[in-house]
Amino acid sequence: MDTPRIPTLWTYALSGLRYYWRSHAALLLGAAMASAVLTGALLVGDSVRHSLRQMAAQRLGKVHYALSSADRFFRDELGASLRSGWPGGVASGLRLSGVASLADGSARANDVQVLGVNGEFWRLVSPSGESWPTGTTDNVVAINERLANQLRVHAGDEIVLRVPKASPLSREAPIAPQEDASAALRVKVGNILASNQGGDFNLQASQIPPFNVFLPLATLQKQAEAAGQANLLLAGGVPGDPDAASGTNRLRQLQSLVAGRWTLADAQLELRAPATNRWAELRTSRVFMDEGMAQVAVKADPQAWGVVTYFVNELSAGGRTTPYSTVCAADGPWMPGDLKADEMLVNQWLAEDLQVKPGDTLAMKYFVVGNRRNLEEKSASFRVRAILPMEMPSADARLMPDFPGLSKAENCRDWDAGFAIQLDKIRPQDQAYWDRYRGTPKAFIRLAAGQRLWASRFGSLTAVRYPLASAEAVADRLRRDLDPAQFGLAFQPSRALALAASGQGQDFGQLFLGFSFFILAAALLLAVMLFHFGVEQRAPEIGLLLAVGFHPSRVRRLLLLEGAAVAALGSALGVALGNVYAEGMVRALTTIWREAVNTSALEFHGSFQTGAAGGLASFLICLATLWHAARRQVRHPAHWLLTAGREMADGLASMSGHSPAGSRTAAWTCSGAILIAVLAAVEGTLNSALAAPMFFLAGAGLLTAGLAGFAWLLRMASLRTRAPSWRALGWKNLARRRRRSLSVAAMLAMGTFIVIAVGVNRLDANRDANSRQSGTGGFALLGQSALPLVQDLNAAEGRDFLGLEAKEMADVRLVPLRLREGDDASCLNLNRAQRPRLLGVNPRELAERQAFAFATVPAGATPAEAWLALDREQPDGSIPAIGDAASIQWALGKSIGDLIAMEDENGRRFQLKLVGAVAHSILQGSLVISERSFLKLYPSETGSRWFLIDAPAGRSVAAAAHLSRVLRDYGFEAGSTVTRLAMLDAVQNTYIATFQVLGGLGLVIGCLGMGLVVARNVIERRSELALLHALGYRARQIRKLVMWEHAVLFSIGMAVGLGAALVSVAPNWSSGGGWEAYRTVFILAGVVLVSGFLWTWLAALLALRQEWLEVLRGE
Amino acid sequence: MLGGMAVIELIGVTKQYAGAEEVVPVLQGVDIRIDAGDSVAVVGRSGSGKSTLLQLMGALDTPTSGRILFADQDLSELDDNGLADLRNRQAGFMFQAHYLLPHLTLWENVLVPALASPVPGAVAAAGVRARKYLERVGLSNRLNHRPAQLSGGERQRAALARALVNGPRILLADEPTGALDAAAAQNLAGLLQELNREEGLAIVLVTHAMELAAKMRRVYCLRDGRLRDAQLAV
Repeated sequence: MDTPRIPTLWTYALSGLRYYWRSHAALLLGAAMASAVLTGALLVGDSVRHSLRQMAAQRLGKVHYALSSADRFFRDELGASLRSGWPGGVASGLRLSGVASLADGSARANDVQVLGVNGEFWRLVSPSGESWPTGTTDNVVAINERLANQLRVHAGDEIVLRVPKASPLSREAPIAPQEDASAALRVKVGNILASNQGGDFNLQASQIPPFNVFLPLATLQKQAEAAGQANLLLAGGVPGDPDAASGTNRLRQLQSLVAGRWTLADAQLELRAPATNRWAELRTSRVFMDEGMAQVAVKADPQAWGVVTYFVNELSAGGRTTPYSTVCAADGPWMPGDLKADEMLVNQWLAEDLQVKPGDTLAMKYFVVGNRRNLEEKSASFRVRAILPMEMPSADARLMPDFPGLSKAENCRDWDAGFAIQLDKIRPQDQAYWDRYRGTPKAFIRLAAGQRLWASRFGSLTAVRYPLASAEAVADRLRRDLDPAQFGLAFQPSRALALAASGQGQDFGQLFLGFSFFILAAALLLAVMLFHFGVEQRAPEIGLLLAVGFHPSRVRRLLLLEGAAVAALGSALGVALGNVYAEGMVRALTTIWREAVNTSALEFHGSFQTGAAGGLASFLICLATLWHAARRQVRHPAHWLLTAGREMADGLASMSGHSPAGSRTAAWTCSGAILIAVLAAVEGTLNSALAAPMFFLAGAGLLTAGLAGFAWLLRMASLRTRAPSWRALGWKNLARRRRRSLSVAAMLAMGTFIVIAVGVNRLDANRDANSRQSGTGGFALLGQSALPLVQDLNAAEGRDFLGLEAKEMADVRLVPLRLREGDDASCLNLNRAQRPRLLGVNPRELAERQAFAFATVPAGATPAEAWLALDREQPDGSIPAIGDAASIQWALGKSIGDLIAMEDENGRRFQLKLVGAVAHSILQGSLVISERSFLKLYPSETGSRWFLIDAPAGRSVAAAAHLSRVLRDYGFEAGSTVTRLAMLDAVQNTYIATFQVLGGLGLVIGCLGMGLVVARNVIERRSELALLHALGYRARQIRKLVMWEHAVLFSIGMAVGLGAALVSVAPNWSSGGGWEAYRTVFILAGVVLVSGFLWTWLAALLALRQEWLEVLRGE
Repeated sequence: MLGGMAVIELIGVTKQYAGAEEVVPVLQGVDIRIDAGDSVAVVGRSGSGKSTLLQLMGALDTPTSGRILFADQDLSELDDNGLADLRNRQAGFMFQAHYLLPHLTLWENVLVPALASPVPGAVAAAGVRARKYLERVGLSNRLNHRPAQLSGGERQRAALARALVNGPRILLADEPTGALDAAAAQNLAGLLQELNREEGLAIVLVTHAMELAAKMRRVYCLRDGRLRDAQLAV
């Protein structure tokens, strides 16, 4: 006898694989589908991350570090100075917010980033290093594609640019001129730059490029009246450093370089030390010295003394008045040490003009600037202590700071002090004084007294004086003690931030895993079902193995070994298919689902690691589900499996479960669930705020009731004896496999319910749009301006100044918000916001209106006073902030109570504390802090750029048009808050639509499982059906019986799911979502219904093609 | 009774099944002892509990009450794996259906019980026995055939070889000739007798076939859940 080789377990598994190839092929298909969906979803995440990373790289080029000092200017030469010490290259630039439009006004772009740049900038930003614009003339600019599309211009066309003039003195500061705040220039478009040419340069993390205009640095400096000035420094990475090296050490090195090379001019300081004077003087082009800077300056020399000189409206005594004079507060050497706070020294000219003598009382009137530049005239009285001769050192014109509207005026009539000068008050002697003494102060008070009257957020000193001999030492001391970050010279690791933003952004891998859940579930369900059926067929084999002494765990492993081999192959195949799936999804994201990502620049990117991870994950998931199926099968006793197989085991189990108690439980569950559904629906109807969750609960209740009712019917059908009929026979058959029937109906019902009911989360911007508690806050309009508005737009003076007409603005009220640029923390931004945009508001304005509904009210506050929490001091010194709930959760990845590290304009770190969240609002994208905190942190930020606008019903469109037209030079654009909210909502709604489409596809695939159940049922019952055939039933009648049973099963599942789902989305119907919103849902339901019946029919047809005689013979 | 060491002993064994509304008693206080070399036939009507009795003896099922000793080992003291090991090494099973695995060859089928053994070299040793028994049952020339290529009698003989491949102390056969024609049944009965006689293999079989039962040394009848001597029961 030729003995064959001794078999092993592998022999067993391999021969099983070969023999049962049909069921394994189906398992392979299921595993491949699951793997394709899983891998595909991960690859979508990869693609989005890769695209964002690529966009980040394109918008920054080779820039690793950036310094953007906004309203603070430094020498453009600083870049060149740093370049020699930094191998990565350094470029200076001027970056201003501007407005671009066509000359005829037919197209415009607000919030344009106007960049004055030079060749070094392009060496860092453009991959080719080529400089743009290529023309050499001043009036040629380069723009990026987004701006070209917005303005619909081509190379050679002309556009008009409006840019703010670079005033070192904030236009909100006292004595700041208000006229001619911006300049317009007509330029020719020389080049239109693509993103890969550096056209989309941006420091903010966003996939939406800014509107960019590039022009030569010198041109922009000239137009913005900022000769030799810059507010942007870009530094490249050190050659050889990877991207990740934009870390602390390199940044520290760069910052040290800045610390070593900055000059006082970069801090907008000037130390004047004229040999003709006894005193050196430190002054600033910003007029008022920052508080921190002033403290360092005063400590720079023990003999230093501070000065604050103010422009007052009038000085009067004894009925005589001297208009428009400068008064100096200083503890200068000519000031008596015992001069009291209410005493004043006057110069001889003033004493003569007012005819005052020591002991007389002198009144002083002056303006202080309130919020929104509201001028408030105040007065103070002083007793004249002494009269200073004009020959005294106090007669020093340099004591007046360089007020931009005054210091260069030849004539008093040319003064621009930021308020209307009453020219009729100016007398010839005043002009004569100006001609001879310029801004020489006419009166002197103690420094502390002056600071009490005139200190503002901009500072309380206009100069610091030192002994002339100390000038050099003071300069050194200042350079040593001042931290460049204090005046905005602080580099940020832009590249690291950009990469972090792109890497930590919305995880589309997870998102699409969620969206594809039903496809994944359907594929796994199919795989498991097929595996399970296969294992069921092999019940006697399993029984034999157990009977001959195989441990149950070993039998499971054997079955799993076969399944695992197939699952591994399927998963590998799925990885390839996953690439196709991901490509399709990315394509859909840039076309039909574009509203979810707001860019068409996403591109497919597949990586081996992700493919392998997806394949492995799906393999493990398959393995887990197969293990579960194998475990279920192997737990039956060997003799049952041997004698009657799994079918008998289940049959007996079903018989034993048909107890009256079970029927009662089903009936009670059904009744209870209906009661819950009714109560929830009533509550949802009465309380609109709870409509969505209550109707969802009502739907879930109906779903439970429907399924419990079906379970009860199945139990009744198995217990009752009825007169034989098709229907009775069909019900009996359904009841025979009660668990399987219930499972199929339940899966179908739950799938349909979830896919459709998720639509209840659709956001509707129109819902209660006029209510203060809605997402619009009850505001009709939202206004945004490119250039800040400092005037009070609610006051007649402000409106007059800007040219807003009283009639058009009647009953229009604006809530101005200050803006600190930062990352857009809304769902429109795919990147994770690293430094969120901040809005500063007077909390009372929102609290009085009870604007916006709070998702989380700040601790210790009532909803009515929730906004006031912004002004509440935090024990840890953090700044309270309120944001949109979605922004906080998704865009920032934070929770209420969390802290966000930020830097103020002086480079000091502070923490924002998220104290509250508003629900579903137009505030998405920014964090709101109190205006008081805002001004403390960013005193240089001028005016407001965000406006929440109340307008009378029916006149909001006209008001928006009027505001946009009149304020067009500020790049102001007012639009409907509903439109803004709808734009934000579109993201979530598109996600929901995506989930519904993919979920529907999953249901369609799930219907294939329904077909398999039909086929399985027929195969199990083939002897019974063969008997019917033998008894004279026609094939058509047998088919009809089988179809009837399964059509009932399918219809009940669909009806329960669909009915429950429609109840849960009822609030959307009532708010006018209508047909448009549900078209996809109904189409999907139709497709599922048709495909379900099709698979059922097809499976029945194929399974019933039997040789009935053979079947009977086999029995 | 032959005396000597008991292979299996059932003491007061009862078995009940819980139905939907009532408890169905199958075995009620069964006492029986099977010694090495013994051969016992159990007859009875369909549904009388014969197969249940055999499954209890073979540690495929557990009694509702009473004790089952297998080579003096109380089966209630063993866990599932212990019972599996006991079945694997001490008992051989034959069923009315052959339960040959359709995807394996005859040779592989016969060696399936050996694959369950964790003992190194067990399969090789079983190979020697497999060869011996396949020769004995007359199938040594069909080793590479699959079950579908064998006749009913051949399949059942293959099943006998499989039952013996691990050298069991007892063969438990449930209607082994139930699906065979008279000639094949005769052939198989002869084989069982030879194995009992020549190798001292204890045999317990349940059957409806009185001719087969008559070839066993003891014949019992199972009625009303109780085991009675067949002659007394008639």
